[in-house]
Amino acid sequence: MNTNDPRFELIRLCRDGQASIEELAELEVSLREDAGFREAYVRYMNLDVALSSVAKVLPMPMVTSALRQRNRWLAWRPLTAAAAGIVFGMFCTSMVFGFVAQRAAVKKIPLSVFDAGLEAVEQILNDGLPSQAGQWGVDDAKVVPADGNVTPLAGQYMLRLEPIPREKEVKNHTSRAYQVLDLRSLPAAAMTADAEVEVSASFCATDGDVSSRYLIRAIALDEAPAQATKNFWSKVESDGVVSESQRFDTAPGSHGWQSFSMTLRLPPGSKTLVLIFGAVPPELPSRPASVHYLDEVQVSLLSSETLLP
Amino acid sequence: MSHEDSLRVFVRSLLFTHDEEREVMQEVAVVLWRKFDADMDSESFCRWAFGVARMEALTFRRDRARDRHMFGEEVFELLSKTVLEQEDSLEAERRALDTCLQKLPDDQRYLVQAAYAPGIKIDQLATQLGRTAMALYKTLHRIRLTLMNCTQRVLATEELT
Repeated sequence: MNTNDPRFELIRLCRDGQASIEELAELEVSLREDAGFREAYVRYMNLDVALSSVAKVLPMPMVTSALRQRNRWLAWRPLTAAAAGIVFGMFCTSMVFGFVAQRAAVKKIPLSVFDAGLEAVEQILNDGLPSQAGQWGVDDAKVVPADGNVTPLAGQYMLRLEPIPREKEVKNHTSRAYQVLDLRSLPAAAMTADAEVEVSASFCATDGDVSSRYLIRAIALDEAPAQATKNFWSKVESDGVVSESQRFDTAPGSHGWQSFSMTLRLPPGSKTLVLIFGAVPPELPSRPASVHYLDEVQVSLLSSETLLP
Repeated sequence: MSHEDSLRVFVRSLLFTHDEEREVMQEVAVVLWRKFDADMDSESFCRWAFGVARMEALTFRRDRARDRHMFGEEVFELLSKTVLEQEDSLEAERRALDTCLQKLPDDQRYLVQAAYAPGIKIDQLATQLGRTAMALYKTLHRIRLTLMNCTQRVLATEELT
């Protein structure tokens, strides 16, 4: 469940002891009937409990003065901002509005992803992260047609990600697929300071009765692909590399294809974008690890329209 | 995650304030110490402890809570099942929380520490900060959601590395 879901406010009301009888009843119905909501509720409470433990071991900070100062500033901020806006507006109203309009108009440019629909059944899949663009890399996967009761989301084929069972003693149980994009052909004007890439992908599990966890990670590097992928894993941990990861949990009973997307702020000068897609086996040791499928990967550049041709 | 942590999350999910959780956890601890059977295996202990927690929460809400609302049997079962099934995942999120707390802006981190300090009352803290209690509750809620998203990102990064 996404944290933008309005039902998180219901959780807050109950957590803070502010819920009415009706709201408590509504909470109970959601907890009973919606597994995704129930998991989100437990995660929220887990965080709440963890925060009380953290506060216990940390010395009480000089919060009050620091916060009070901050708060005074916050209290004045709207007035100050309004006053500054009026003064600024007297001199350059059109510039202010021009800036706002420019920020609001965002153009979405699809970027070329090699075999985005996983249709090239004959392709050679690289073992692990590929060192160049134009190739898929995988831990353990293959391009397959309809498989059991799973049919490709689009086209004739999809990628079957073999599960890495929990009981197997490996560092990471995530079954991954990789792709490297060469950004050097992008027009320089498109790489504005506010440019973002949006990555989306669709996943499907053979066992929709249990929850599945999918991951998407995008990493922007300022080196050409061949160089960027050398010593890649040690490089991604450095502060200079911009990276964003997102987990997506499906609720038990979510059958069929599920589509997810995430965005990454793309720093100007980025030359390579590495994409990693992963599926994590369920935590229930009693269930056999589910096979997951990947299809229809899309990557778009979101940039200010006015700066593009 | 230790059983104690799981148990605490379970109790917290059944009750509606931290004070209630603390009181019930104390009662639960007393019962568990008094009636502990060393022959019990881990799974039996866990089942028994969750049952005790549930009874104590029920008793507390019935006798002490103002609204006396208590979840029904089915929700009790579903919540305990969810907590136990998600034990590893919840533990990982608690671990990732340290990283995420460091990423919070200073004022938000201080606020969290102040609000969660033992014995603190939100009304009093709000007065000290010159804010309304409601504004503080909502700010803390937003911070919690930010932290939830952050822990997901941290764990996703770990799982894809």
